[in-house]
This record gives sequence, C-alpha cells and structure tokens, in this order.
Amino acid sequence: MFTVKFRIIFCSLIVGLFLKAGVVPEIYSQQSSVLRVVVISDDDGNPIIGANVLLYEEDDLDREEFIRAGVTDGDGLTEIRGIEPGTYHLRISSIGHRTYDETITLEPDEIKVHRVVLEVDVEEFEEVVVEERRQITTGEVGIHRITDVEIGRIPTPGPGGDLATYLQTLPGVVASGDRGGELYIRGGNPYQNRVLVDNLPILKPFHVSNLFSAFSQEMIQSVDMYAGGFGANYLDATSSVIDVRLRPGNMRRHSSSLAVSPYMAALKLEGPLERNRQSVLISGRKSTIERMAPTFTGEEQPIEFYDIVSRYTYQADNFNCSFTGVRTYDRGQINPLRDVSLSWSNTVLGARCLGFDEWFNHPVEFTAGFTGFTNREGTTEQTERLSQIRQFYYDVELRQTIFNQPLQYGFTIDFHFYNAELAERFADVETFDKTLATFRSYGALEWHVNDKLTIHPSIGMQVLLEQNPTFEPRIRAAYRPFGSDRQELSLAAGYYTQQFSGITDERDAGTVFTVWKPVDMDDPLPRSLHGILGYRHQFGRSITAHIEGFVKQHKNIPVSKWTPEARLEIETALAHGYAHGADARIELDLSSFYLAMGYGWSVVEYEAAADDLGAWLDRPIFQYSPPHDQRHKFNTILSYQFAGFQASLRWEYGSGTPYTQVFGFDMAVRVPNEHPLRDPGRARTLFSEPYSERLPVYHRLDVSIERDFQITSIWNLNLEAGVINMYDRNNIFYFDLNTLQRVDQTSLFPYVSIQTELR
Amino acid sequence: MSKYFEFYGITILVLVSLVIWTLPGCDNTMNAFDEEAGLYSIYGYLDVHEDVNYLRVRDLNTSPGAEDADEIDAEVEMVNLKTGASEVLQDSVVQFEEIYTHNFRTTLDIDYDTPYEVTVTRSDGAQFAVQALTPSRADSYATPMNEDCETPIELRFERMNGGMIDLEVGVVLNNQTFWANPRDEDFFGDRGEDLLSVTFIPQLLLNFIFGDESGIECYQLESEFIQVRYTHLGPGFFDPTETGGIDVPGGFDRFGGLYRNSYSFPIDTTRILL
Repeated sequence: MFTVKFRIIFCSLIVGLFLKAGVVPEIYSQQSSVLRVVVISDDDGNPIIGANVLLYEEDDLDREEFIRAGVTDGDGLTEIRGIEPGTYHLRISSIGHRTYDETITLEPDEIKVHRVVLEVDVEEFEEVVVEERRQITTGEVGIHRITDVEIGRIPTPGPGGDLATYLQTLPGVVASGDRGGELYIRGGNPYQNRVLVDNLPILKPFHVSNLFSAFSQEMIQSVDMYAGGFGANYLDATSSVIDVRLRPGNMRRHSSSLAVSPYMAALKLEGPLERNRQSVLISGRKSTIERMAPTFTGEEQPIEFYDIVSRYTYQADNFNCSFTGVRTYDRGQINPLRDVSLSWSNTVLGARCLGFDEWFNHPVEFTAGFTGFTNREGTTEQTERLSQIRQFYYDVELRQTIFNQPLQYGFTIDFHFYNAELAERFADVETFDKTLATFRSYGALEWHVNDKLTIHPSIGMQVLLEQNPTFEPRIRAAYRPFGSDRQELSLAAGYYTQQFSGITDERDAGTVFTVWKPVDMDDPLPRSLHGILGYRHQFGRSITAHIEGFVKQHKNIPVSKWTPEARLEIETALAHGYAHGADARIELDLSSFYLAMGYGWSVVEYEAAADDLGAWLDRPIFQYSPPHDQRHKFNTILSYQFAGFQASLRWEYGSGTPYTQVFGFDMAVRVPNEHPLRDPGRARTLFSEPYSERLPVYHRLDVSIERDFQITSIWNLNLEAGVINMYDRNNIFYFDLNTLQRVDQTSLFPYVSIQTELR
Repeated sequence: MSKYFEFYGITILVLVSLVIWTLPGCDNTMNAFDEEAGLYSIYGYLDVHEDVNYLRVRDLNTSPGAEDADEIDAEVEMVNLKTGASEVLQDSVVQFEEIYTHNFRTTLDIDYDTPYEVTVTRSDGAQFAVQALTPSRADSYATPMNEDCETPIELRFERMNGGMIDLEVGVVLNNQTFWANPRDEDFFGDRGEDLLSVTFIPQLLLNFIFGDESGIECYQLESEFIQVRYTHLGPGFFDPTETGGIDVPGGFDRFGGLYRNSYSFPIDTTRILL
C-alpha cells in the first residue's frame, strides 16, 4: 500500500525526470541531423495537416524513390530524424496546393527548422489526393478521422453541418433519441467518453437537441474519434475519445458571417490581428427553435441552447500557441408534457503551446486550462438537483528517441473539484463537496519493425492520493501485407480505468441529469478491457472499405436499481458490462459524387448480482441489455455536386433499443387498515422485468440542397433548404412511465437557412 | 484492375442503396403494458366474523384514465379449499372522483384455519389465482388481574398456528380511549410460531401514552379496566413489495384472512400513598 507521502515523492520524482529528459538538449554521438518542417498554406496562412514531406537523394533527378518521409500533424509540423548530414532534395505536396521543391543541406548535429508556404493550386487537387491519403492512414483501427468536408455532407437544419449529426452516422454510435445530448459509443456510457477540444477536456459539448454540438462545421479543423483501443496518451476514459481540433483563424484576411435558420442564428468573426502571426476566430450560435417550431412543425420544442467558441492563435517561427475558450448552455424538457426541466453548461478556457525551436532536441507541447461543467434538474420554476465539476490541469507532452524509434511521453497534473446537491432523490449518494488531485503520465513508442509492420505499445499511469496507482498497458499495431497501405490489417487492445463515475436515473429516459462523482476510497475503479481487429482495403482510387470487430469489457458501472414498484429515490448498484460487435463501412469518393454506407452490429449486455440490483426475479445473477443496446444500425450518406449545387442525403436505420414495460398500473389498498369499499387506494406503477422488450425500429431520411452565390467579390451568400425526417416517420423516443405516454422524436421538419459572408 | 473494382463497386453501392430506401415501412407500434405477465391485482381480506366480504380487483393493464374503466374484463371465483364450496363473486363498482374501482362481494362462509382460493379469469383465459389461509381461533387472556399499577401484566395469545397478532392496549381518560401498540419499546415479551406473550406495567403504559411529564397515574383513570383489541392475521398476510413477491405471470395481491377481537380486564386503580 502506497502511503500519501510516498506518492507525493514518487510523483515529484517522475515530473522531474520528465522535465530533465524533454527540455534539456541531448548530445548525439552519431552526428545525425534533424529536419523539422512546418507547412503553411498561402491561402489563409495556417498550418496544413497531412502534407507529405519527402526527402530524396540529391542525384535522384526523377524523384523516383524517396529516402525519408513525414506527414504534417495538426500544427503543420513534421520531424524527420537521424538524417545523415549532406545535401537533399525536399518535396512537399498537399491537396489543392502547388508542389514545393527545394534543395537543402544539413550539417552534422544540426537541427534545422524549415518553414514552407505552399501556394494554392486547385488543379493539383485530384493529382495528389491518392498519395496524400496513402501517407497518413496507418494503424487506423478504431479511429474515425473526421474533416469539416465530411461533416458538411450531412443534412443539418442549421447553417452548415455539425459534429453531433455526423457522429450519429457512424456505426457503433448510438444516440438517446433526438434530445438529451447523450452519445453511447460501442457499448460505453456517455460519461465514459472523453471529449477534448484543442487538448482541453469538455464534459458534455452536445446540445439538448442531438442535431448540434458546440462544434460547428466551420469551426472544426479535424476530429479524431476513437471508438475504443486508444493509446495511453488518452487516460481517464474507459470507452472512447473524441479529440477535436479547432481551426485557427485566417492569418491573411478578415471575414464575418451571419446566418439564420429555423433552428438557430449564428455569427462568426475571424481574421488576423497581425498578418501571418496572430489571428482570432469567434463563433456564437443561439437556438431559435423554441419560438419557430410551432410554425414549422405544429409541435412545441421547449429547448434552448447557445454556444460561443473562440480561438486565438499565435504563430511564431519556432513555436505556436493557441488560446481556446468554449462556453455552452442548454436548457429544456425532454418530454414536453412533464414538468422536468434540465440544464447544463460547459466552460472551457485554456492554452496550448508547441515549441519546436532548434534549442529543443524534440518538440515540446504544453497545455494548461480550466474546465467547468454544471448540470441541473428541477421543475421549470426551480432547481432541485445540481452536480458540478471544476477542473484545473497542466499537461506536458514530450518526445524522445530510443533505438532510433520515436517515443512520445507526457504527464498531467489535474485538480478536480466535485460538488453535488441532490435533494434526497439519490438515496445512496449524499450531497458532497470533494477535491481530488490526480497525476497522470504515459509513454508511447512507435516501433517500425519493418516496412510492413508498425507497433505502438504504450503504458499509462494514474495516481490519486486516495487510491493505489493504476498501470494501463495498451497496444496498437498495423500490418500492411503487401507493403502498401492500400491494404492494412490492424489491431488495438488495452486496459483502461477512470477516476469518476456518472450516475443517472436509467429508469427514466425523460431526464439526463448526471451526478458526476469521484470513486470513493474503498470502491473499485470503473475499468475496461478493449480489443479491436480491423481491415481496410482501398479499391482503385475512389473506393475504400473498412471492417472491424471489437470487444469491450466494462467493470463497475453504476446502474439504477429496478424495484418492482416505481420509486422516486434512485439507488445504484455496480454492474459489469460486455459489448461485442462488428462495423463495416464502404465509401465511394469521386470528385463530385460521394456515397458512404455503414453497418454496425453490436451486442451490449450488463450483469449484476440480483440482490444488489434489486431485481425482483428469482435469479442470483441478473443479466440484461441496457437501453443503449442497439443491435443493428445502417447508415447511408450520399452527396452530389452539380451546377454549383450540393445535394446531400442521409438515411439511417436502427433496430429497437430495450425498454422496460409496465407490469401494471395499480391502486394499492393498504389492507387490512384500509377497506376496499371505503378507500380508493394509492396510485402506483409496477415495473416489469427491466429492459425485457425492444422499441420499434427507427429510420429517418434527411435531405438538403445548398448553393453558394457570389454576389460581389467580397460578399458571398449561401442558401440551404432541407427536410429532416422527410417521410414523417413517427420514430418513438421512449415511453414515459411517469405519464404513461409515448414520446416521439421530431416529426417532419422542413427548413431553409441563409448565410451571408463578407470577406 | 482498379477500374474494374471501381465500376462494380459503384454499381453495387447504388443498387444496395436503392433496395434499402425502398424497404417497406416497419411496424411502429409498441405495447407499454406487459399484458402477458401482469394481469390483475387483488386487495382485500376475509374476515371470519363478517357475513359479507369484499375483494378489490384491478386490471393492471388499464391506465387510470381509461374510458372503459367502469367495466372490468374479469370473472372472480372463490373456493373453500377444505370443503369445496365455491361462489362466483359479483362486482360492485365504487367511484372515487374520477377513479372506478371494482369490488367483488362474497357471502361464502369464512371459517377459522381454512384455506381459500380466489381465481380471476380474463376473457382470453388468462388467470391469476391467490390463496389465503384464515387464522385459527387463538386463546387470549391477561394475567394477573386486579393487581396494582406497578405489577407487570402479561397478555398471552396461544394456539395462533403461525398467524400474526396486531395488538393494541388502551386506557380511558376524559371519556376517550387512548391506545398504545406493544411493538413499542416499553413493552417486552416473547413471540413464537404458536404463541405471543406481551408484558407491560400499567403505570409505564400511562407514561408511554401520555408522556413522562404528564404525571398521570392510575387512580386518575375513569375506568379500572385495561382495554385490549387485536387483529389476528392469517399466515402469510403481508405486503409482497417488501419481499419481492410479485407473481409472474399473474399480478400482485395483498389478500389474507383475519378476525378482529377485543376484551378488557380489571386492575386495581386505588391510589397508593407512600
């Protein structure tokens, strides 16, 4: 057993070692050189992600075989190490940019930082797309890399697309109807997902309308969604990671846009504060659906939300810094017929800096910030319950080379302040106010065994003063059987723990109020094991197919007890979960035509001791399918560009999710003290076996068509028209056991959005 | 080769899409009630001392505001399992504001220590049956009698045959009877399968009823009799929700047999002067 004193010393020691190893320059005995290339777009002065950086021998005049290669990351940076001193030919290419060629000379022991600006060339687009894709996709199992272009293909009733709508098209992602802002990813609960924005955690960025999140299409640079099997650089999550990187503001031009739709109004401002050095990007969106819905659908939509997202970027020759701020607010009723009002808000403020100066032997990344989250539940008049988290953190990411293989490592110091006021509804969770300090560290090696096989072993550690440290080994591997990454077999596996739980009243789908609670000293940590095996095959230039199988085992998930008689108080028990399934996705991507079809099959089962769970069936172990166990999901996305228009279509089919039937609606008479003839009895609902039935299947067709109109050289107008739920399917959301009424999802919703932009 | 894959890939994708989009509409209905498992609830008791007894029967698959709640799809029959005598019960609807209740009336003789079965049958043949065993006739007495208020008194119930006694003890003051339940801490006793023994001291009973500060003593009572009243419940007469006893398939019941009784016994309420 670790003592508190020992843990503090242990953590301090590790922090010190990290600092010494990462920042202090190393002496290389082999006199090899290092080339760091930062690739900037001439269009907006911002970094280019995924640019190919190729190094050729100087005498390879035809550029037939490159000797070293790199791909730029989210900061437009790539680093090629261990280069023999000499003269080389450098070639850089990227989609939509003119290929850049230059001869460079590297001196012994030199660390050269090279900043390259690529000129825009639309004609180059189709020529480089294949090469670009080939270079950046390795070891992709479990990952969905999402760009703003992909998000824009999904019909969304706001100006532009949104990450929330896109995520729901992915196999393995299950949403709780169309309200509530809850996403279940491959069997995991929403609180088991970790969402990051510019490396800063944000707890629930999804709006009360599941069509929207804090991340609109035009704010996103890239998103990596790990449905499981993520490396140890992501700790404190047991199911999935959604890593969002915001777009930096334009470093060359100012622009502003204003948009309105029946769902929301949006304003965006961006531009340089100092040309090519500093920029700012601010976006604000506010819902209007509460006022507009009765006109458009004839139904009340008592929901309201807004988000403000901003990013300030400073781009120097040897470092980049960004300051990110996000504020979201949601309020509404999931069931308009019940007086249960929910609200939640996120506040994120932080900075991230990447230093790649010659003085650093390796690039160094720092992140520091604050994350706040509050969710409330009550009547429309007053708050009855509240749960809050405030979080301060400091994170350092470092790199090193071991046996000529890159090693990435880092540490995080994290202070959590938990607070909850529960007004007695949560029977076994009392109102609490708790502060926790956590130290996390990890190391991840990228081991290129040979041309065909790459292995990424990693290990993470989390230390809480009240708990024993956790050690979380993980591995990702990719095998390219023919040496080309047109075919790739990859796997991922790992052990994951989490220092907190989210407790909700699962019996009532009409609320998403969650108590965020740290794990008590004597309680077991929520933990999971993941295993994923995937295969990707690229046919020709435009068709890509992915297939993946996965298993996830979750331990110590807090679940609601189901007593036969419905009770207001929530009691929880710990359950174990097991999820397995397979996803298949095929994409056809031509220049003007895009078609993607995805199918996901999964089985999610929970089990708990019947005594703990309060289940009234006479079995020692109670097994059931939780409400997010959607067995089959099929998605089709189609997008076609013609005559300046873009037409998009999305069709989704999902099999029914489990629900609990009513065993009976009763009027209980307290005999013998009450008499049947004299006393009416007390109304009560009796639950049947939990989750023993399934809701009807869900399917929905959304369509949209949009076009840009260039009014003047600086004024652009975008018009979009669409329909959500085009054939007006009555998709059930859930059956409200409190009101004994069926609650349906949004009916047919036509919309028109107008966006005007000045630049 | 790649063009070959591309051509067929596009063709297959488009065809599959068309097939899926033209899928016929799927069933969109759901049944909120578990009609196969939950049938009826039954509330009531068979009082051995009553000529007529009532049993409340409720269709669990009917929501409270249902338009046809004044009717119930149920046939109720009761059988004396010892003698075989049976009766089909008649419904009597009692309305409490918007709520209709169905109370089935039985005139069957209710005997001590006898099992009865009530069967409720739905028109589709689904049945929910419950049984109750009436209590035996217990012997009850108090001892000693006519003693002063500081002398412990024992109340005994014998030959209970597994039933439960719900007991209250009372005294009369100001033309009003005040009752205490011997489950409270000022009583002590013994409980067995066939026996219940409760012992108390009359003066402590007064302190318990009126409070220690009241200063009320035995001589102030208007009657020198201690009142005893009790309900003798048949074996197994309890609330199933407390022990997880819903019958699946079937329903929920709170049904049993009982009888009520009372007696009094004298004590010496003469004031004792020290």
